Amino acid sequence: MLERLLRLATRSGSAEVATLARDLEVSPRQVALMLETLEHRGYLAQTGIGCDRPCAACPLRAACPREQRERVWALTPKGARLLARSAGGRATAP
Amino acid sequence: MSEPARAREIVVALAGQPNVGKSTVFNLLTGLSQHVGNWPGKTVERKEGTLERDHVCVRVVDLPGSYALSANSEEERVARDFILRGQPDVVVMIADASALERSLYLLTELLVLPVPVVLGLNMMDLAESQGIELEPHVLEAALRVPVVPLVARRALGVSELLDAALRLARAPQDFSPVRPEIAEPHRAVLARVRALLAARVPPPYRAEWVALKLLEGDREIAALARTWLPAEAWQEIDALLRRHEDAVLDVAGGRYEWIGRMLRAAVKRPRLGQLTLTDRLDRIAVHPLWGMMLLLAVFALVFGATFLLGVPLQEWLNVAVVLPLRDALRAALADSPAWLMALIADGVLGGAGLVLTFLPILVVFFAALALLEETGYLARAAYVMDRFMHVLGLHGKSFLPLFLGFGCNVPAVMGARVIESRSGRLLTILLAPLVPCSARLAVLAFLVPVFFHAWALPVALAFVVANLVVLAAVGVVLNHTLFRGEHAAFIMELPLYRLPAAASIARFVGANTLAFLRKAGGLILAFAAIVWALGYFPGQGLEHSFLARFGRALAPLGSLLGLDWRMLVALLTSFVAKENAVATLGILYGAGAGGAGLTASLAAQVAPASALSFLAATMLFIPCAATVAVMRQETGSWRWTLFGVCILLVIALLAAILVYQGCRVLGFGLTHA
Repeated sequence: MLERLLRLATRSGSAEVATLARDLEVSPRQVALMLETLEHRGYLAQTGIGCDRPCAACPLRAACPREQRERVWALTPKGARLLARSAGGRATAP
Repeated sequence: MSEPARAREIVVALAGQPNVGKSTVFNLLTGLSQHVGNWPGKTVERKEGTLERDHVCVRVVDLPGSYALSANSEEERVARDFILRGQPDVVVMIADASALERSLYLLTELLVLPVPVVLGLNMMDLAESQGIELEPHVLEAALRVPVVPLVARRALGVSELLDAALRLARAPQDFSPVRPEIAEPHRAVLARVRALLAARVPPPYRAEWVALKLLEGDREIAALARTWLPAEAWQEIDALLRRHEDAVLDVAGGRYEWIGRMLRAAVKRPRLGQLTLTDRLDRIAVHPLWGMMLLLAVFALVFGATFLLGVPLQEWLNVAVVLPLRDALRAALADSPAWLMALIADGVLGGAGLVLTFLPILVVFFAALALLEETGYLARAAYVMDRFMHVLGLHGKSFLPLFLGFGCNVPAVMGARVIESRSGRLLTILLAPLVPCSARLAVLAFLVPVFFHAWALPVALAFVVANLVVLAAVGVVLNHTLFRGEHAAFIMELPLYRLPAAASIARFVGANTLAFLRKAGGLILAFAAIVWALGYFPGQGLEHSFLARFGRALAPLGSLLGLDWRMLVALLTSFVAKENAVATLGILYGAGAGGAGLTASLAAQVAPASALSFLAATMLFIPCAATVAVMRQETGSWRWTLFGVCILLVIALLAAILVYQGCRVLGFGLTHA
């Protein structure tokens, strides 16, 4: 299911959690949890969108309306390797 | 049973994530008979208590709150070690009914351990208030695990929970839950690892659980397994684990499959996919087509509001404050040296003072930007723009830095740091100055009504759109020539929509207003004074000034652009700060214009075709000095910085020539009012 999520999330550009939840027929909360697992395992990495640091440490915080309430993940090289392997048929026999 | 007294004692381990009300349940069960210490050799707190029920002593051990049992933290290690080695008679797992997904993940790990489990669904009232209707009996049937609904903070269900736990502790053979399974692709690998472990796994461990943990990459269990197995068996397992490092996804994936199945069975409402307000709004806001239309409408609304609310206020400030003040200063300084009166009235007030009247335009614009972020819309805009940005060799992550460019290009360039690939980052930095910043928008808002009256708003919008079209065109060209941009997809968890907080908007508007005032009182004022001095001295009038001599040297270029030397100088001074264009125009056209001020003077002396050419050049002109400095800092290269500046210079001049020569061919706006 996690690999399917990874494939769905990257099949046509970017994706958002609610749409992925509908596609997988699970709750958005579960998709977020699965994304956290993929992150914990190194297949995804959290990334900023518009910022690369917490607001408190940002010199532009006064002049910036961003609050970064969204969470954003991007595929890591490990995640990309997995998708490439799975596209070429993943070997699962012992 | 590890202790002799166990015949008369039942050990209950209380498990659960942090903040699910586990301690409340523990306190309700054990009351004052609690003992608090530390787990042996650990810094994690150990809480135990006892109670008597039906003449049986029940010892309750409160395990540390943990999200899983994978030895990721001291708490997880303590919890799983106690369940494995302490061998409680039953585990009572407390779950948050309002966020069951995460709790059920812990349950998937508990169910593969050799101990019966009772599930306490706490916070049922909170779940209900959130519209989540859970059917505990359906969940119980699906899990084949006793499930007891609770509202621990009101002591509801705790007695029933204890009864269920004691029943199960007395008849553990009745416990046969539906356990999650590893997803199909790695079942054979799991079976092989289990076979290699075979009978070599000592109690209390079980080969099935150890095999799962090995596939999950659990280092602690791997270190133990190595000591249990002969070298060749371990080497084979190790080779298998290396070859199937992705097996962890099928272990965890199988658990999530199981969680999804259980929730589909037991959660009655909101049905998965049932529409909340955020869902309903997002059906439009993140739709590929409607989302883009909405974004365009939002943009039009922001700029429309800026012009319709800000411009009249700006005009009022000019007419009601700046011009009377200038007249009053002229009167007050009548006996002063002529140069001093001219400096203060024409240089300071006619230049920097005029720029100060931009304040209402900027306040409205910054308030609109903050409003979009506060409501949670900006994140949606970034998501919707992803497809479009892809065409430019960028992706949605570049959208927000570029969007911030509407406020000021400096954070836009700095915001490009968030782009991982160097080519994407460079492209974003090069494109950022093409976003019309608030200073340029203020210049636009000030000048367009002077020449286009009733058509001011459509003309101004056309300039903003033209800027964005040029940005897109440059992006496409660079993407297909220099950069060969790559498209890195992202996954976004959008925030809930919320009502904007006035304090946050005020903070943002206040900070930007202050920054603008500092700039007007510093850089813009200083440059206005310099421009005034160059236009005043050596003293035989403006037409014979140093500035006029310099400006006339650019006359050949000016004739192509349809700009006289004063407008060329204004354009050049905008390099210091974009607002300086108006400050310079104020000094060069406004001086001696009496009460009529700059607007009347410009309308009388500049033809609309020249004004269009000037605006086209200003909107696309080289970035201000601060932006150039940040471009150098962020690219780490003068070469790329100069490349960006040159591109913009060429584009600005070409656009202005095209506009003016086009007007000439069409015979439009060649005579002034």
